[in-house]
Amino acid sequence: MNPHLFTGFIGLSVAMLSIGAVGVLVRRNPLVVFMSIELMLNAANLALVTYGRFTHTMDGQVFALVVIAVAASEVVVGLALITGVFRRGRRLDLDDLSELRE
Amino acid sequence: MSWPILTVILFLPLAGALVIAAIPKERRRLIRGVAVGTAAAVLGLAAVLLVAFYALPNPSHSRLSGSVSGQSLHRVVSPITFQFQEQASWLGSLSELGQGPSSLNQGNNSVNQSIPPPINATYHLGVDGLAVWLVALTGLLFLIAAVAVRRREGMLKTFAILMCISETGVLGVLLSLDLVLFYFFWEAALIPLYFLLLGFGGERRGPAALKFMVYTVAGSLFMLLAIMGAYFIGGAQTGIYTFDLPTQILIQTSVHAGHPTSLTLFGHTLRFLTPAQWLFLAFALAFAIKIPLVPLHTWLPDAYESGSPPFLVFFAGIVSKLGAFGFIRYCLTLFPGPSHTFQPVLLALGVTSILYGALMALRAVNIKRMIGYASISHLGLVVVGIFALDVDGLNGAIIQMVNHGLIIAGLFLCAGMLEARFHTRDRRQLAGLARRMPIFAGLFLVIALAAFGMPLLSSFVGEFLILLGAFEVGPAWAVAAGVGTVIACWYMLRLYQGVMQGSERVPAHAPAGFHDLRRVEVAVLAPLVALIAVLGVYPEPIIRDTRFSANQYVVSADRGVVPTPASPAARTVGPSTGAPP
Amino acid sequence: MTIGSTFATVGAAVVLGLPLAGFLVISLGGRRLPRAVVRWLGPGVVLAAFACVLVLLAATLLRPAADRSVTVMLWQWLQLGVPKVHGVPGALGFNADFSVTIDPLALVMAAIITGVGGLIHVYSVGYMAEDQGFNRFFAYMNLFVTSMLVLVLSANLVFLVIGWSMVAFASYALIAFWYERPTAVAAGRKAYITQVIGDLGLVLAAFLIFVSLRGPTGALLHTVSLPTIFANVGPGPHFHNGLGGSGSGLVTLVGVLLFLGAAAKSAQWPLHTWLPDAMEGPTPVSALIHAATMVTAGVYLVVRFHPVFQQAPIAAGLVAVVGIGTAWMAGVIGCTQHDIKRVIAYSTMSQIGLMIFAAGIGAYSAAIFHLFTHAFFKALLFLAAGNVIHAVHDEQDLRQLGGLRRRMRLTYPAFLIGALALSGIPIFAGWFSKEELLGSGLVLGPVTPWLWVIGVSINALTSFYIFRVVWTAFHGAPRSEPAEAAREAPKVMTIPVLILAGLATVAGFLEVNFAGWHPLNLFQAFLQPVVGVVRAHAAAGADAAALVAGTLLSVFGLGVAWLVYGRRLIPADLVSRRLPWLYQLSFRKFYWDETYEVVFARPVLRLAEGLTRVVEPNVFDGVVRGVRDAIGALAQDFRSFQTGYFREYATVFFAFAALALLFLGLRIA
Repeated sequence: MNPHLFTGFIGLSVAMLSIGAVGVLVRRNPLVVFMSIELMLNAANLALVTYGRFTHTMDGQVFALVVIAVAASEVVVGLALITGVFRRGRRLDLDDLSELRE
Repeated sequence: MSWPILTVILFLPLAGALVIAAIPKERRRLIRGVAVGTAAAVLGLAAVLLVAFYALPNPSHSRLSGSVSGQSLHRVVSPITFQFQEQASWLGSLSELGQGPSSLNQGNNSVNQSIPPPINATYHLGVDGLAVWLVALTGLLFLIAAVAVRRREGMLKTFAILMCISETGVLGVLLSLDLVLFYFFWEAALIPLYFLLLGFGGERRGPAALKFMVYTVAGSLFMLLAIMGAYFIGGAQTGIYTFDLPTQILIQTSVHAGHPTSLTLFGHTLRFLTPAQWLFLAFALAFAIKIPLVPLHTWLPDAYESGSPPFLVFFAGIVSKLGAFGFIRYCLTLFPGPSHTFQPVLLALGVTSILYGALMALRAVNIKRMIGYASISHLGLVVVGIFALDVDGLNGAIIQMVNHGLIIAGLFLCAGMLEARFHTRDRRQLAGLARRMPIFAGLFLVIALAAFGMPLLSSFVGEFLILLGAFEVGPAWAVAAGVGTVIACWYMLRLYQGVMQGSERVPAHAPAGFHDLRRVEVAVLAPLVALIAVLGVYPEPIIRDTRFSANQYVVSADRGVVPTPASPAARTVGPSTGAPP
Repeated sequence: MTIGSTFATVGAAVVLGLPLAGFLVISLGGRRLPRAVVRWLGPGVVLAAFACVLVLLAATLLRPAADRSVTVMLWQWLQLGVPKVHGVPGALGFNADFSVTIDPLALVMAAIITGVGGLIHVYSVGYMAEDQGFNRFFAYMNLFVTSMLVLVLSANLVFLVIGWSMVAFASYALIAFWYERPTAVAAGRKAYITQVIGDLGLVLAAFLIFVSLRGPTGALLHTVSLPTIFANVGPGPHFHNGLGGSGSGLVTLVGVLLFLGAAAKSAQWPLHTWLPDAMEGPTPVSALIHAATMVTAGVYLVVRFHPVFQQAPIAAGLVAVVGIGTAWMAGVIGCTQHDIKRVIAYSTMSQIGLMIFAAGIGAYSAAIFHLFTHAFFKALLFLAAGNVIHAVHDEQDLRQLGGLRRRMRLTYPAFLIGALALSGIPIFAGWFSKEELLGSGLVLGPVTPWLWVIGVSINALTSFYIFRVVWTAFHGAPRSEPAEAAREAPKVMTIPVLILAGLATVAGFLEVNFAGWHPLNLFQAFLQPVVGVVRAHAAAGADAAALVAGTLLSVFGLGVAWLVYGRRLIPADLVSRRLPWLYQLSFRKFYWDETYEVVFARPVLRLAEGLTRVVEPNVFDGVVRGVRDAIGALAQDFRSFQTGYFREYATVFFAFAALALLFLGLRIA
């Protein structure tokens, strides 16, 4: 694999991860936070696949498939929760949703 | 015996619990019938076991399975023999038990680090003269508890199921001959007991149940660590990694005691305990909490005060004996050396429990709480008997364990009958009931007398032998324990006289009019009283079974004594005294 | 062979079995058993046992003197020893069998128990006729007789202890028989607890003997069999002292512990305070248990263990001193009590003190002889007093009686005979036995003859207080309405009293011994195989002087009582006015009850209170709560991390992830 290409993919992955992390940290809308999380997961997937290509093994792609599956189920649960909260007439603001503290 | 009687006894209550679970909860009569029937069947099988045990040609004939073949051990004779053994593979394979050790020994010492040894925990059951009577006591007390449950009791089905499960747990503790299996049942018995205490009983039962649970679990976790410690220490030295109790007894005899753990601070080396002593203490902690010994007793008064009477019949009657049973079965056999090292400590704790419990009972006004403290006092006496480490004391302790089960169950039943009639547990609110409850008065009197060792009632033999055993260790122990019996006379008489004698007084809030015992209540109390009287006059049935086992345990514990001419063990055991008459 | 072991086995089994059967039938029968049955069964079994004892007695008397003791085993009760099996060492554990000894001492005791006991059972049929608990009474009485027989017949220390404790229970049950009276309940409890303390002494003595008795070869014997113990302690064919040398600390300790048991049972200082309170029980109980039999068990114990006490002069001296001290103290107290039964109770304590004294100085035969005569005249006094109490509807206060002489024409002479016998007035039984007892005190024992001086002075006290009762209760004018209306008791009650009166008159002639003049020592000769001849005679002159002095002092006490209470020439409140402290000391029973309350009962209760209030919640439960609170506090600290803001959790997570990455990167680099 072309080292420049490799560095580019990894750099893209790092950039996506950072953007996602900042999104998770600064946004208050749970849907946006969700999207940011998806972004981070996909950054991880990209890195995995890249490393897999780099080492000529299938491990990275297998891992990426597992991550996709996990991400899918996570979305299902997460969106269901968000819808549930929304249905109960709550404002979708993460800072308001802190009852579990107690 | 060709059929696996111990397995049947062990799992019969569990089967009963499953049957009850299938019955709709409205069919109370059927539920109670199944519970009573199960308990009666267990008692019947326990009686069969007793008879079969009695009929063994010679209780000392070793039926030890040939599981010990480690080359370092083959000359050692097992001091303890168990009867009616059953063994099956459970965790790890049974075959490795027989063949594994030698191969491990020969070649694998270097790779022991990297290849974990097989777990080698087997399903191994067996009884000896100690366990066989406690199994019978378990059967009896659970039957009495099942009969004593009133059909109108709320959540009858839950109670019956939990009771049956806990019976299996208790029996498992008594019957298992494998450390992991033992631990499994030890903990398994806790869970139904916790829910029984939590769900049924007085107003403060929630915190009491939690306290009991946390206390016991905390103690038994150390025991789990010690079980693993024994496994690894013994395994590292002999190459036999096993949880099998008979094998482990032999292993622990032959292993080197190990060096004291030491700590070097500023050039000074502080020596602590040897590994075996640490293990002993961990076991002892679990057992001392279960018994309980002062100062680990504070869960008991709360639990006994708030438990419901049928529950207390087996909770106080048999569960508290498991601690004493553990001391005999595990501490004396696995750790004979530390048993002697810590003998004064355990004797002191026992005597402290006797006196402390007696004094607290003297002051208590709540009848059930008072019985709880009395129980602490009596079990302190049992511990004194065990750690007298001689034949007399140990026989006395075993007899007293059985007797105390009968007596404490009787006392709690009496307290329950009073509470059911007068809705009070305060002994000061009751007086002069004997005139209108003569049958109850008679039965209660016998139980109260037995509680402080009246001769020709069952506990006299036990107390006498325990005091004698303690006297042989040191007269001061016997004197201190004897003072406890004087105080016991004081508080028991005061309870009996206060409640039954004097001019009649009942609390204002009690339902008007009360009656003497109903037939079912007599049926519950009378067998206990009859046994108390019969075993007091004629203790031979127990002693015939226990004296061989007690001797074996003493011999087992005496392995820990460095033979010197003046050693206490030489006095009652061994060739120095010659052949008995 | 002696009287034939089969014969002895059957005899002992029957003697023990009859009252036991009575107890079982009556107690299991409960209220359903008709009174008509109990009325015959209760006394019947005891009298039948008495007949059986008489047969055994006759069989024993037919034997040569050296051959009158037989020990038979009835039951192998407890056996802990195990043989050596398969390389596992055996053990010589504790063994106890129920053996009985039939010998003159045991037979004398058994005869008193069943004979006097039988009479008292008959008497009780009348006395308890009206009582609700008639059946219960006879059940307990039969149990008592059984236990007492176990005590005196047992040839094994463990069964002696068993009998000893069962007697205590029967006594408790009978003292607290009228359980609706708070005083009776308290008295029963006090008696029982005192007995348990004594039991502990006896049990410890048994342990000490068990672990330290050595045989002729020096090997430990590990036995509790009485014949073996005695054979290895005292003089015998292989003379040696199995409990250390004569006067050793070990044998002294055994003696003191045995005496602790004896003192509790026989109401000797310091365990004496229960006996007067025990008068709360029905009067037949006082007569049987607290006069004739149970309280004399302590004397029996000391005499039975005389081989031990002979080897332990210090313990024996202690026994003698405590005995004479108690006798004197009880005599002084008896002079001021108002309750007719309590006066007799203190006289019992006093007379038993004399017996204990005699047993302590080694005059065993004299002690048992006084025990024998005392059983008659003291049971007589109690039963006669019972007649009085019955006649005046449970009034026991002497100040409320008076003038009963004309109203109770059978009871009065009977009581008078009892009083004369107790005082030691010539030809009555007490005179013979006291003379022999005090005569021995002149020459035997420690600090001779000062203890004798005290002993003889007790004669004056005794006759004073008992004739005070005679004159206040029977003479003068009635001082209350019930006393005015008193009638003689029914026949079933008077006949036993009259039989006892006859015995109290003639029983002394078994042992005629006027200062060495024409001795006729039937009783002593009978006991001699058991206790040996230990009486050493003083010079005939001193002996005679002692006899005269004792008799004169008795007459003097009688005379003073007559002057004070009969003729009223001396005012009765002379002492209470002139020496109030002495009167108070006597009236308040030397303040022992108060002392024990302050020294023992209250501190123990206060200790229990302190443990309950302070130690239990703060120390033991405190540690537990401390652990719980510490964990709780730790958890509280961690709670502040949990803000509920997702963003903060994520920041922490990312920060740590970054740190981990940094760390890994550094390591790789």
